[in-house]
Amino acid sequence: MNDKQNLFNSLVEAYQKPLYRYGYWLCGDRTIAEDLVQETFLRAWRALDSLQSMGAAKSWLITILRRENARRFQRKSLDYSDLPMESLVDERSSEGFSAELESLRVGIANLEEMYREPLLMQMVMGFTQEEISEQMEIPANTVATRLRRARLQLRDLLMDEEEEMGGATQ
Amino acid sequence: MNCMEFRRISLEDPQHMGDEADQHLEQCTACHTYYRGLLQQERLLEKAFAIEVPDDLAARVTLRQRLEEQGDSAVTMLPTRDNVVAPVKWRKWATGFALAASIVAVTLGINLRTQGNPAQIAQMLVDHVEHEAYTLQLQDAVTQGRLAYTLNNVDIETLAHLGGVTFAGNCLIEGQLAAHLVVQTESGPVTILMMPNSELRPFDYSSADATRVQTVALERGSLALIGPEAVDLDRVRERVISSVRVLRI
Ligand SMILES: [Zn+2]
Repeated sequence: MNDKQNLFNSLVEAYQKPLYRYGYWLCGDRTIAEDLVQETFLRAWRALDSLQSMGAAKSWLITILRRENARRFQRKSLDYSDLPMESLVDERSSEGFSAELESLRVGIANLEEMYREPLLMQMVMGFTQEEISEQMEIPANTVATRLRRARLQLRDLLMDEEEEMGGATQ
Repeated sequence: MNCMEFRRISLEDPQHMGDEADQHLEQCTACHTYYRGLLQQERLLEKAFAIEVPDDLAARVTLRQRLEEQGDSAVTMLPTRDNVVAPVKWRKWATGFALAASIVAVTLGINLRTQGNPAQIAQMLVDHVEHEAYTLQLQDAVTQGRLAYTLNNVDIETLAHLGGVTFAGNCLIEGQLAAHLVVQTESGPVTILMMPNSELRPFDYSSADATRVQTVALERGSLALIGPEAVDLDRVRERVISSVRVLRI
C-alpha cells in the first residue's frame, strides 16, 4: 500500500468515531451523520496533498465536515429546528436505560447551536479554547462564555431532573 | 483567585483549569464540593455524546474512497435484482446510499466473531448466501473487468480467466472488505467468499439440507465455498485458487 493510502487509512482509523459523533450532534440524524463522514473523508482524500501534518488533521477534517454540513443546508434550505432528533430514543436499547443520560441527550439536542458546537469541539474533538476560537472565528472570551453557559444550562436540566425524581418518592 | 473566578474557570474547561484554580480547589471546601458535582456532570456528558458508531463505518469510508480512486472513468456491468445486466457508471452508483445500503444487505447475518464450531460458522455462511439469494439466480456471466475490479478491491490479482462467474461484488464481513462471487456449474451455483482480511478456521461441512460449506486458508486470510452437495466443490476451489493471487500488502 502506498504512503498516501496509508495516511488516509490512519486518518479514517483515528477520526471516524469523533467525526461521526460530531456530525450526529450537529444534525440529529444517523443517516445524515454517516453521509457527512463519507463526504468529509472523500474530500479529504481528494485534497490529501494539502494536509501539512498529522497534527493539523483534526482541525482540517472538522473544517471540511462543517463546510459540508453548511452546504447541506444551502441545498435543501433546511433549518436545524426542522430536523427531528429522531434517533435519540434508539440509544436506549444499546446500553441499558438511564433516565439521566436520556434527558441529558435531549438537553444537548435542545441547546442552541452556538452553545452546543463549542462544547462538541471541546468534548468530542478535544479542541482547546484557542482552537475553537479559530475554527468558529469568534473571540476566545466568547468561546469561554459559551462553554460556561452550555454547561450551566445542562446543569440546570440535571438539577430539575433530580428534583422531580426526589418529588416523586415523597 | 476567589470562588466566583474559580467557578467561571471550572465551567469553561473542568479538565484544564490551570495552577491558580487548582490551588483554590485545595483550599476551598465549598468549591471542592462544587467541582466534584461538575466532574460528575462531565462524565455523564461524555457518555451522552458518545453515541454508538456503526462497526463498519471505517470500512465503508475506505470502500467508497477506493471506488472513487479506481472507478472514476470505468463503466462496468452491475447485476441487478431483475436478473438484467445493466451498465452502471461506478462513480455514480457509489455516490449516495445505494452503496451503503447494498453493503449492509450483504453483510447481514454473518458474524465471524462468534467462536462457533464448524456447524455454526457454516450456518452463518449459508445464511449470508441466502440473504442475497438473488445472486444465485443470475445467469449471465460478469465481464472479466468487473471480476478483476471486485478482486482488486481486496488486493487480489487475477492470474487467469475464471469462467462462469455470474455475480461479483464486494461486501463487508466483520467490518472487513471481502469479495463475493457466484459461479454456475452443471450441478448448481457455488458461492465463493474471498476474505483476505479475515481468518476462518478450515473445515469441510455438509448441512442437513445437502449444502456443503468448505473453508480454506489463502496466502492471506480465508476462502469459503458454499454450494449444493452434488457439486464437485474441490474442483471449483482448485480452479479459484489457481486463478488468483492474494497480494501481501
Ligand atoms: Zn471557593
